[in-house]
Order: sequence, then structure tokens, then C-alpha cells
Amino acid sequence: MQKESAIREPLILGDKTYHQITEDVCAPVEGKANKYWYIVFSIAVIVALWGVGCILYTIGRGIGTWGLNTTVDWAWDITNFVWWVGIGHAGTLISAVLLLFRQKWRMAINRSAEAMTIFAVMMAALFPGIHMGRIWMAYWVFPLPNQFGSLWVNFNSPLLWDVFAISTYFSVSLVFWYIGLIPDFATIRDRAVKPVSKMAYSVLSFGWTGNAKAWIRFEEVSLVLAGLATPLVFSVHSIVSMDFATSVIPGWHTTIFPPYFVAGAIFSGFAMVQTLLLITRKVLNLESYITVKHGEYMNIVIVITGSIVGVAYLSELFISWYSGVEYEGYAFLNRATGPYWWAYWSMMTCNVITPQLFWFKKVRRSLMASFILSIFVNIGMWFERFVIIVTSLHRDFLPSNWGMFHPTFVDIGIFLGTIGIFFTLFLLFSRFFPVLALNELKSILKSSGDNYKKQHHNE
Amino acid sequence: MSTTGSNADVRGAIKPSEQGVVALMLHNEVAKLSGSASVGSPSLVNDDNNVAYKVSQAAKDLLNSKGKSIVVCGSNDPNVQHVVNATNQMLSNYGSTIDTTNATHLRKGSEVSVAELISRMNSGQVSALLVIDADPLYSLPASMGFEAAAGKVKTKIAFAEKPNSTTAICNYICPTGHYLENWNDANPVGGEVSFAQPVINKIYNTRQWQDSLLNWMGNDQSYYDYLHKAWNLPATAQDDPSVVFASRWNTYIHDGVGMMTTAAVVDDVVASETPEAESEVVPTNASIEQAAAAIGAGSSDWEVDFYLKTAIGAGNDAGNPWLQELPDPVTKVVWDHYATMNPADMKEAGLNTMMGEQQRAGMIRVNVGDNSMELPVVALPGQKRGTVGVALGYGKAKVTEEGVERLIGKNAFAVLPVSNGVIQYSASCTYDKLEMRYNIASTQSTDTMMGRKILNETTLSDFESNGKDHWNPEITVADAYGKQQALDKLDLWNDHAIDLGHRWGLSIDLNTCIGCGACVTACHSENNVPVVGKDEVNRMRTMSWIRIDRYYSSDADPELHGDINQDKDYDAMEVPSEYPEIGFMPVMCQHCNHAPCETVCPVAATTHSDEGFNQMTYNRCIGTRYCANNCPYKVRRFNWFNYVADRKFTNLNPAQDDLSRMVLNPDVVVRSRGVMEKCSLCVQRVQAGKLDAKKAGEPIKDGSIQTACSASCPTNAITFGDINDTGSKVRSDAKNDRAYHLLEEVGVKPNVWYQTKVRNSIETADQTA
Repeated sequence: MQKESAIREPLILGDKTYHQITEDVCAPVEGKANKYWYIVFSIAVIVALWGVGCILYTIGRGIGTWGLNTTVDWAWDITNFVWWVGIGHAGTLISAVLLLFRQKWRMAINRSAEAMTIFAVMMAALFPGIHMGRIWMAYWVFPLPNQFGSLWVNFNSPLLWDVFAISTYFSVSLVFWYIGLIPDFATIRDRAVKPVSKMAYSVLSFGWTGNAKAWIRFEEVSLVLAGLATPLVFSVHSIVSMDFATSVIPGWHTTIFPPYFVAGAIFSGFAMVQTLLLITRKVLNLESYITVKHGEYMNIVIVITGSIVGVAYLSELFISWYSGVEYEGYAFLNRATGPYWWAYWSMMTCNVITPQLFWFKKVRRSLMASFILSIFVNIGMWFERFVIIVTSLHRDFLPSNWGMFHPTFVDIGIFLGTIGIFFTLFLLFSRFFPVLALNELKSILKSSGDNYKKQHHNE
Repeated sequence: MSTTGSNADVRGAIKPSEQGVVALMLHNEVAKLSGSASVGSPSLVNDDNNVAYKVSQAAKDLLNSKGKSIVVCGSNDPNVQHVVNATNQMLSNYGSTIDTTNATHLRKGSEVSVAELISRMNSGQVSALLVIDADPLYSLPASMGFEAAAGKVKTKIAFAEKPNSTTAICNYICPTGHYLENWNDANPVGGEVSFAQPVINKIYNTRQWQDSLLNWMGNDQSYYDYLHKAWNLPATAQDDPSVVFASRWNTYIHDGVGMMTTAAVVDDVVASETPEAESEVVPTNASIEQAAAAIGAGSSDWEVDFYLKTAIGAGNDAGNPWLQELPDPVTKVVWDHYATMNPADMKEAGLNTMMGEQQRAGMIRVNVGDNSMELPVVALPGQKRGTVGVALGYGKAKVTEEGVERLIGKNAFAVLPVSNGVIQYSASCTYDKLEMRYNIASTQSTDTMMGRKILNETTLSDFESNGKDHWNPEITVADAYGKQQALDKLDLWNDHAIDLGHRWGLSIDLNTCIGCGACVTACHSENNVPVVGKDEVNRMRTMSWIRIDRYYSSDADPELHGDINQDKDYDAMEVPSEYPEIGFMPVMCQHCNHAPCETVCPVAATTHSDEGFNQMTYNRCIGTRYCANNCPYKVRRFNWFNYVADRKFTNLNPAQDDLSRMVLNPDVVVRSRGVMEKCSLCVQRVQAGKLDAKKAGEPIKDGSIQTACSASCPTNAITFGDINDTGSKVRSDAKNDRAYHLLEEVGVKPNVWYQTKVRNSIETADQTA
């Protein structure tokens, strides 16, 4: 049995047994939801429905219902797309990369982080669809055999690369997440008393028996999938960044984009995980499993990726001046001092300055501070994409085209709507799915559990 | 600022009342240099645009081109005209640039005669009034009292194509139909008679007024027979005497024009108009003295200038959405009636000088005599300080069965002052700032070039004395090792096979483009481009495939100071000079050979043709708009709505109305919602031209295929042709020293060339003197 240093903080607090873990994780699934859950869920559903209404209105009437114009042909749509994709990066990073690096602390957070990833990628995938002028022709972006004179897609287009990148990422993440869920579903199935839920969870658990062979295969598949998913963590956002990097627009045409986008994605993903888990642990009484130490680990990731992003911002700014290219130089000067200066400085403040507070241990370990700063990062990362997309487009080469972007209620409705849908899904997840990987968690109880550590120490 | 003023090599801003003073100044400068006597000592009240110096330079240039020059003025004042005529005489322009025998017959209206008619109507001497294609109730100043006088006329008959304010007070309205449904003739100048034949069967039950009059006169011949007989004149010297009239007539109708001897035209048709003899036009010394004395000095009062807009004109077709959506050449405002002021004056008055989607314009009340008008104010750099400009032609009544409604704006004709029976198009005025805001839609909100090489221009002296490298240098880009390389050397892509077959392209001469916008409307008409209305323009969603960028010069432009390396003050560069120079630049799809739009489309809906077109396949487009984002010229247009059915465009889009749907060009598809569109270089015309040539069994002749923009350009600034045709004009233009590509450094290799603008600026005038 693996032993852990005594001075390393325990990952499971309190006097927990295997059974207690099962009880704690299954409690929300088996018990009744409290009043708060219903209130929050109702709000989320209403916002989601409003968003769905806005989406239907867009599809019915046209993209003209948004605030886009001839100069700024993408704005909130693609901002939201990149924002959601970015958020969707943390889950796979936590479950795949941290698995390969044998980071045990991931076990408490990987399930919900992955769920968040799936839902975030679903929200992200919505935008390339609804931003199309003719969504009913959306299937044309897939290289399907067809009768239109055998028309093929354009493999030069970064948008097509996006299609492949996002769909691959989504399917691998979904499979990874689901495989992990199987043993936990089986646990719930075995405990279920009501016939309907027993039935449902037996279907979901694919007849899991829990024998040693199954466990061996489970571990192997997890490792293989982690191996597959790890490059995806880096490829997806690199490819998304190429939508911009391969174009000719000053402010988009930047070779720094792939690493900068990946760092930004991890940054925003961890911030969103932080936001969600700080609420979840409280509401579902999981404080013993999602501990201050977990928060601190994530804050470390946030401060590091945030600093990478900050360096990227500054190098962009420097290079634009150093290049001596009129358009490039102006594009970045305009970001910082032009009509959208407030967006740029919101981004700078939320992404570069405030996360630096995490260098202080006190801040890093304060749950309240973590929560507030994670919200800052979520906001800042939305502004980052807005700054890249809108402020580059709104003043490009020919001043005669320059203009501004003004969102309409539909733009705002759809954005809020996706947040509503996301939270609806996440709240449903927290009621019907095991929010912690309970069986995996049991594997570290004896090495990292508070009570066992104390025993080892006393021995 | 007029189209003429904005295209002038040198422009001097003055108040309308000082036109005579400047005419006199010029007269005296020319007189001084040619040793004649000066008259009076004219001077400007506040010469903040250096007009006196400009006039003296102009006088030198005029004398240098003695007999090959001309001085014109737009004044209605006979005294000013006297002085201008005298100047022309000193310059020996009579008989060379001024032809007094072949007079034009345009602008023959006489306000004095109208005033006389009104007084006779008032005294009950007129019992019947026929109004033909006119709307005097709208277009005469209210002070002339037409409406009251009309009440005293018993029988009023209006012949009109559409109901208007005047038809509303007439006893009988005779619908005449559209001019394209009718026969007609006209004699605009000299012996040139033009003929109009119907191009379409009558849509409604109408009769042209000539037929009606013939009928009422008891003459049973049709107007066509009448015309035919009237023009059965003896053969002229140019005509082949063996050709009978019947076949000559056919030629007239076919060509639309016939050359008659001036005498025949004058005798038969305009007998009352004998050409004025030179002695009558050119004043004597005594009469100049008299005229000069009559020309008053300018005043420091605020003045209002009433002008006609390029598109709206006198308002005859103000109800036509194409004309309303055609941006004013200088202000770029659409769909609105507004007052213009110099931005410096506006800042002093605390009015908003910016334009943009959410920059609402301030409003003023312009008081002229006892009348006043409330209008939004738009900044117009270059306008003389202390003046307000107000366009005529707005606020026309639209009479429908439901009643009378006013089209956009206020009727400025109504407030025009009348002096000595002559309508004055300027007046002294006052204005009050109103605490109201008004939404103004314009197609361009940044006015300057921000120090970029976009509209390349040079001065005449630079052009003549220096090589191309000086005023149109080849663009080079630093390679990975920092070495400056020609763009061809740094190419990521394989070339299309552009040297084979046809390669269509355009050459646009920035020197001859006057910015009028005829190409824009021609393109709308040819390519079924939707009109989108004020709100959509305000959201920056004009659909025009071709636009005309207008750039003002800025005092902060580093090139003006000769030091392009100095620190740039971008905020200051956005602000136009108080009296700027202006440049116009038509921009349409540049049909790049390395088009950035083509590579990014996920479904290959925009591709390169074998003939150099960047072509749009509407059927294939799914509307990601990535192409539009990646276009450096921003010429791609997205169908934000279903313009042919959406309720927002019911009153704008011709396709939503059974009658106006007839304007749609059947050769061009009407695009659906959600697809991208852009200039196709009139591919349907090219295709037709190729088929014509094929049927004739000949190669395509250069110039036989014209795009809508090149065909409609009044100054031939746009040339379309095959760049691979060694004899084509567009090819020689492309090889011209003045030729350059817009944003060449981006490396997209356009098939559209621009020709550097050469300005004979004031320094040049100084040097050549």
C-alpha cells in the first residue's frame, strides 16, 4: 500500500470509512432536493427558456436580430463560443493529464469538472451552429458523401478544423466521463430501492459486476483514454485559435495564439471549476472531500496559467510595436486606448492583476477569496475573447469601414440563455449523478484520508 | 461643400453673399496682370481660408492658359454674371471655350414669368391653369403666394405621373404615365434633338399629356404622328440626300438623337430663343463699374445656403428608396434632411460633430426672415464658417388615397427668399440650438485616412518632376531576415493560372472619380442589391456592393508635415482639417488572386474562377461570415434578413411590391437570407458579352463588355476589361506608373487597380507662375 508523507495535507477530511464515502456521495441522488436547489433550478430553467426563445427567434428571422454588422461580422456569438470551449478545457485536463501525472487530488473534482466540460462544450458547439446564416445547411460542414456534384468541404478552412477538433474533443470527453461513471452508477443501482431508479441505473451501469477483471479493464481503458485525451486538451484550443491566427486581420494574425489560447483555456476552465465546486461542496455537504487544499491546488494552476496569459498579452503588445507594421501597431494601441479601452482594461484587471493575489497563501486558502477571484477570471476571460474578436475587427485596414458593435437583446438573451442551460444541466447532474468519483476516491482513503494519516503517524 | 468644390484642385471657402466679391477680386487680379483697369477694391470680411491668395494664384494660372480657360459662377445675380463675363473676355475665352452660337436650352425657367402668372391669377385674368409635370405648390417659395392665387383659378388641370401637392388642389388630374412609357423629344443643346420612345407598354390606363392636348384641340392625330411630322425637316448637310425621311426618322429613333441645323431647330421649335450676341453678353466698362458698385460687401452675419443634393435633386423622385439610400457624396448621410455646419462652429455651439450608430446629432432651428426650420446638424468640414447649408428637395408631399404625408425632411423651397422677382438660394439667417437629439444614419463614421496609404495622391509638380518611385513607390515587405523584398518574392501560395484565357479586372482612376455615386445606384439596379433603410444603415449594414469612401485630409496627418516617422497622434488624426482636401475612392470586391475569403470558407462557397473572378456560390453558402471578417476591404455583404419578405422592409424592398418588382434584373438571382454576397464584376454581363462574341464568331472587343459601374460612370473613371488582352485599356492602365493596388502589402493580389490621384495644388500654381 502506497504511503503518503505525514506532512502532506490529507485529501479526505474527517473520520471517513468506505461506507461513509458511499453514503456521502449517494445522499443527494437518493434523498430529496432542498428548497434552494428548486429555487436555483427554476431560475436556471427560466433563463434557459428565454435563451431558447432568443435562439428560435434568430433562426426564424435572421442573424439581423443580432447586433452584428458589415465590419464586425462576429461578436458575442464567437466570443461565447471560445469562452465556453475554454471553460470546457479544465475537465479533461484534470481527469486526463492529472491522471497521467498521478495527481491524487484530482479524484475529488474530476467528475464534476468533466461534467462541466461536457456541458460547456455543448454550449460552445451551439454557437457555431446558430451563428450560421442558414443553420439548416449546417451538415454541409461535415465531409459527407453527397449528390451535389460530389461537393467536398474546404480543408483549408480553420472553421472546418474546428468542426473536427470540437467534435473529437466532445466525443472523447463524453466517453471518458461515462466510463468513469459506470462503477459509481453500479453502486447507486445496488443501493436503489425504487424499481424505476433501479431500472434506470442498471441500464446506465452497463451491467457492471465489480469483479477484478472489470476493474483491471476499467483502469486500462481510463489510461488509454487519458492518453488520447491529453493531446486533445492542447489541440482543441490551438485549433480554435487558428480561426484567428491564420487570418489576415491585424490583431488576429498572430503566431503566439495557440499556446496563449491553451493557457487561457486552462485558466478559465479552472476558474469555472472553482466557482462551481465551491458552491457544490457547500450545498451537497462535501466539505470533507473537496477541501481547502483542493481549492489551493486549483488556485495555483490559476495563478500560473494567469501569469502565462499575462506574459502573452504583454508580448503581443510589444511585438505589435516592434514589428513596425502600421496596422498591427494601431490594432493593439486601439485595444488599449481606443473606444473599447474599457473591455481591454477589464480583461487586464480580471486576468492579469487580480489572480496575482493568489501568490499569498492566505488568499489562496480563503474560500471566499477564491470564489470572488474565480468570478473575476470568468468575466476577464469573456472579455479577452471579446477584445480579440471585436476590437480587432471594428478598426481594421480601411478607416472608412470602422465602426462599433452594439449588442441587441437577442445577443444578450442567447448568452444568458446558455448560462441558464448550462446550470440547468449541471443542477440535474448534481441530483441524478454521483458528483464525486466515489469508487476512485475510496482508493486514496487509506493513503490520504485524515483519520488513516493520523493512525500512520501514531504508529 | 458641393461635388464641384470637393473635386477642385484648390478650393476657397466663402460665404454665399461674397460670391460677387470674389468674382470682382478675380476680375481685378486678372486685370492687374493683363494691364487693364481694376474696378472697386473688393475684400472679404473674414478670409480664414486664404481665398485672396488662392484667387491671385488662380489669376496667374488663368492668364497662362489664356483662351483655353473659363471662369464660371453659379450666381443668380446679373451683376456677378457681368463681372464674370468681363473676366472671361479679358482671358479671350469668347469664341474658344465659350460658344455663343450653340446655346444650351437647359435652365430656361423664369421666376419673373411665374411671378407674373401668379399676379394675373390673383387678378382673376386666368380662368384655366394647366400644370404639366410640375409641383409649384411645393417648389415655389411660400411668399410667392401660389396657393392663394390658385384658389382664384376656376379650372385647374394637372398632368402628372404621380399625385403631389399641386394635383391635390386641382380640379382634374390626368395621369400621364412614366416617361419611359411615352414618346417625347428634347433639344438640350444646339441642333441636337433627342428622341424618346416608349420602352414598355403602358402599365396603367394613362395618356401622355401631348396626346390629351391634341385630342382636346380637336386634332385627331396621335402624338407620335405629330412628332413624326414635326421633324420631317429638309435634309441637312450631314445627311445623305438620297436617304428619304422615313429612313432618317428610323435612324433618329434608333440612335435616340438626330442632328438638325440649329436654324431649323430654332425656327421651328424655339423661335423665341435667339442666341444672344456676344455684344449683349460682354459688358462695357461702364456697365462693369455699375455692376461692381451693385455688388455689396459681405457681412459677418450668419448665412444659410440652399443647395441641391446629388441624389435627391429638386425632390422629384424623393420617394425612390435607391436615391434616399445613396449616400450624399460628402457627408455620406442617407435617408435624411439635415443642416450642415463647419465642425469648428458646431463645437463652439456645443453640437455633436461625431456621427455613428449611437452618436445622435444635435438639432438647430434655422431662422430665415419670418420662416424657420428645425433640422438636425451634420458636421461638414470645409464649409465656410458662419454658414449653414440646407438641402432643397426634401419634405415633398406624398399623396395617397389615405391623405397627404410628407416624405423625409422639411420643404426648404417654401422658405426661399425672393428679391426683385428672383428666387435667392442664400440668405442671412440666425440659428438657435435646440435641446433635442436626432438619429442620423451615415455609411462612414471615420473621416480620415489615419496617415495610411489608401488613397494615393500626389501633386502635379511632384508628378511631373519626380519619378514613380517618389509618388507611387513599389511596396516591399521585410522577409524573415529583415531584407526588403518585393511582394512577389514572399508568397505562400501557388498562383492561379492567371495568364491563361481571360482575366477580368478593373482600373479605377482616382483623378477622374468625382464621388457622385452613380455607380452605386447602377449596381443596386443591375444586381438586385436590396435597399435596407435608415435603421439598418445605422447598424452599418448597407448592402451596396460598391461604395465610395470619402476621406478628408487631417492637419495631424504626418505626411502633411513631411515626416512620417514622427510620433503619431491617432486621436488628432481622426479629426479632419477645418478646410480639408477631399478624396473619393470607389471600393468594391477587389477580386484578389490570393483571396483571404476563399481559404477560410468551410464549405468552399467562395472560390476563384478561371477568369480571375472571386465568385460567390450563393447556393452553397451557409453564412458563417468568416469570409467577410477576413476581407481586408470589408466589401462582403451578408443577408441579415430575408429582405424580400421581412416585414421591416415592406416599404423599402421593391421585391415586396408587385409593381416595383419589375425593377429586378431577371439575369441576377435575388439572394435569400443567411447568405453572403458581394460584387461579382457583373458576371452576367461578362457571360452575355462572351456569348455575343461567340455568336458573332469574333474575339471579345475591348470595351464591349461593361460592368454596371463602369457603364454608369459619368467621367469614365472605371474601366473594365480583360487584363490578358494585350490591347485592352485596363491592361495599359494596370501597367501605368500611376497604378497601384489598394492594401498591396497584405499580399492578396487584387484584380482591381487604382490610378494615383494627381492634384494641381496651390504650391504647383505658385511654381508654374
